[in-house]
Parts: sequence; C-alpha cells; structure tokens
Amino acid sequence: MADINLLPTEITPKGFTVRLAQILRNVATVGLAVLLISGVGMGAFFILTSVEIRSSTARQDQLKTTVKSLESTEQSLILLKDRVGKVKQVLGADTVSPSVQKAGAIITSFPPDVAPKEIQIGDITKITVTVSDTSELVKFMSALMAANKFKRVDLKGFSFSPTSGYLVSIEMADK
Amino acid sequence: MKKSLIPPNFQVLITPFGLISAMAILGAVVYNVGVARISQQNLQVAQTKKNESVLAERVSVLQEVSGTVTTQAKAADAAVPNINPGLLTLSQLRQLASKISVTVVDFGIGSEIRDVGGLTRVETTIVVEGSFANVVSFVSQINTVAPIAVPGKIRITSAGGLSRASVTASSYFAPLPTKLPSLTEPVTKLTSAEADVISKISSLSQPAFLELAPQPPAPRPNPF
Repeated sequence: MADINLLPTEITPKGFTVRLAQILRNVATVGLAVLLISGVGMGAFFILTSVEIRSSTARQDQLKTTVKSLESTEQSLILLKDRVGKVKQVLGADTVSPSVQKAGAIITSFPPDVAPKEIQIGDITKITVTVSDTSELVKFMSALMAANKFKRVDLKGFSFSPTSGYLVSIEMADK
Repeated sequence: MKKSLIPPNFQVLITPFGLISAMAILGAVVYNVGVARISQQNLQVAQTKKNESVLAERVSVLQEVSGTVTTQAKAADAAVPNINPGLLTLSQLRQLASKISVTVVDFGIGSEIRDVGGLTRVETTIVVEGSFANVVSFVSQINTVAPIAVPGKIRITSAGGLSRASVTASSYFAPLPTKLPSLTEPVTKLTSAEADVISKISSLSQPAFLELAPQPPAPRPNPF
C-alpha cells in the first residue's frame, strides 16, 4: 500500500531537519553513555582510593604503635645525632692536637745526647734543646729534617756555651 | 486543524537540543566536581602513602640502631655533656697522670665561656711533673679522655732530669635537645661521617662513676 501523508505539507518538517534531529538524538545518547561510564569510573576510583587510604591509615596506626614502643631508642638517636654534631664542632676547633702528635713524634726521635730545655706547643711549636757536641747536633738536625712533619721549620736561635754546649731554638708551623 | 506558533522544522529540533543542552550542563557539573574530587583524592592518597613510607623508614632506622644506639649516645653524652665538665675533665686528667706515672703538682678550672653553636667552654689547667718521656706521653694522650679536652697551650720545661708540663685544655658542654621530630618528619640513618665520629668518641676513656646502692633506714645509736 502506498504511504499516505495526511498532514498538510506546510506543517511537515523538512527531510534535512529530521536527519539533523536524528543525529542530535544519537549524539545525546552517546553523550549519556559516556557520562554514565565516566560516572561509574569515578565512583570506582573513589571506592578504590578510599579503600587504599583506609588500609594505609590502618598500617600507619600500626607503625605509629611500633614507633611509640621504640621511643627510648628514638630519644637516644636524637641525642646521639645532636652530640655528634657538637663533637664535630669541638674537634673542628682543635688545632693543637695535630701539632702535639707531630711534635711528640719529633721529640721521641731526639738522639740520646740532645737534652730538651723547653717545648711550647700551640699554633706554632717552639723547641729549645741543648746539644753537647757537633756530631750530636748534626744527628739532631738530620732527625728533624727526616721527620718532615711541619711545612715550615725556622731556626730561631743558635748559641754555644763551653759548659752546656750548643743551645738551639727552633720554631715549626704548618702555615 | 489548529496551526502551531512554532515552525515544524524548529519543533522537531527542540527535544534533541534540549537533551544535548541538559547533557552538556550535567557533563560540566560532573566534570567540575569530579575533577576537583579526583585531584583531592589523589593528593590524599599521595600524602597518606608518603606518611606511611616516612613511618616505615623511621621504624626501619630505629630497629636497625636499637641494639647500639643507647651505648653510643652515652659515650657521645660523656664526650660533650650537658653540664659543666670542668671537674670531670680534671678527674680524668688526674687519672691519666696516675696511669702514666706523672705527678700532678697544680691544677685549676676556669669560668664558663660562651662559644659558637650553642656550646659553652671551660678551661682546665693542669701541671704535671715526671720523666721527659712520661710527660710527653701525658701531653699526647690528653685528647683521649671523655669529656673531650681540646689542648690549647702546652709548655714543657726540663731541668735536672725532671720535666714539667703545663697544659691548658678546653672541655665543652651544651644543653640536650628538648623535642623529638613529629611523626610525619623523617628520621635519617647515621651517615658514614657521623659513624666515624662515633667510633672516635667510643674509643675515648670514659669517666668512671661510683653508684651508691640505696640503703634502708638503720637504727641510730644513742649518742648519750
């Protein structure tokens, strides 16, 4: 049977408009589907992350309990770190101890006939010795040079007395 | 038939346009709210994970050091105590002198001097006599005692087979830390430089303390 359109032609929408309406309806359907999928995705994300946060919080509570039980260890560690920092500062201020060790090494290597008279140790190390004869003096100077402990060695005084022998004053420093 | 005021072409498009507009508005609302909530949730997850890892690291560090840290802290506290160490230093130097067989002929403790970095310094002067070798040995071992004694001025004189050393050494003290870091702050392991310092201070000769045991009350004898 042939299609009979009883509507007057002036109130019938045009073919293009009908097609546009159809396309728009399809777009709306797709949009609704996308919206629904996004909504479900967001919901799932929220549920998953909430579970994750809750379980992480539970683990944190457990860890906090363990930290509490280790409080005395933590106090000792904080004290240790604080004191180590202070010790570093103190040792950094100690400029004389290295000179003491170096001077000690030189002093103990003195030949037997070299008699120390006065030793001052500080930023500059001063040594005054008496040496009975020239052969011992040579040994003393050789030992001093061989020790090679200080960057600078200055002969500050040299005198001779027939009763005590040679009096030698030396200054040593690392600067 | 009554003729509609809205043209038929427009009439047929009203419903789809309405649907699309509603969809767009709903989409915009969902997008705005959803994106904001997602980023907020993401931040919360990241923060929670960070806190958890900080706590886990803290527990791991504390468990790792728990066996040794108390002894090391005691040694470190003896090296730089929290109270004036003048008397302790003097006592330690006297013990060192006795060990090395040199005689203490004079001593003195100076007043407290404020130093840098929250440290306070006390100068202890000690004069010892003995053989030259022993006096030199005493001088070179001054920095082996706890509290740390940093030698300042040293003067050794020798006459008639007897040597005398006059030593001024500084020992330091500082107040103890007063608070622990908050639970969300990380606690770091000891660095190798810190471990070196700890091994140095652990080798120092520690002061010996006599601990008196508490006594129960005893009946007092009648003095009359």
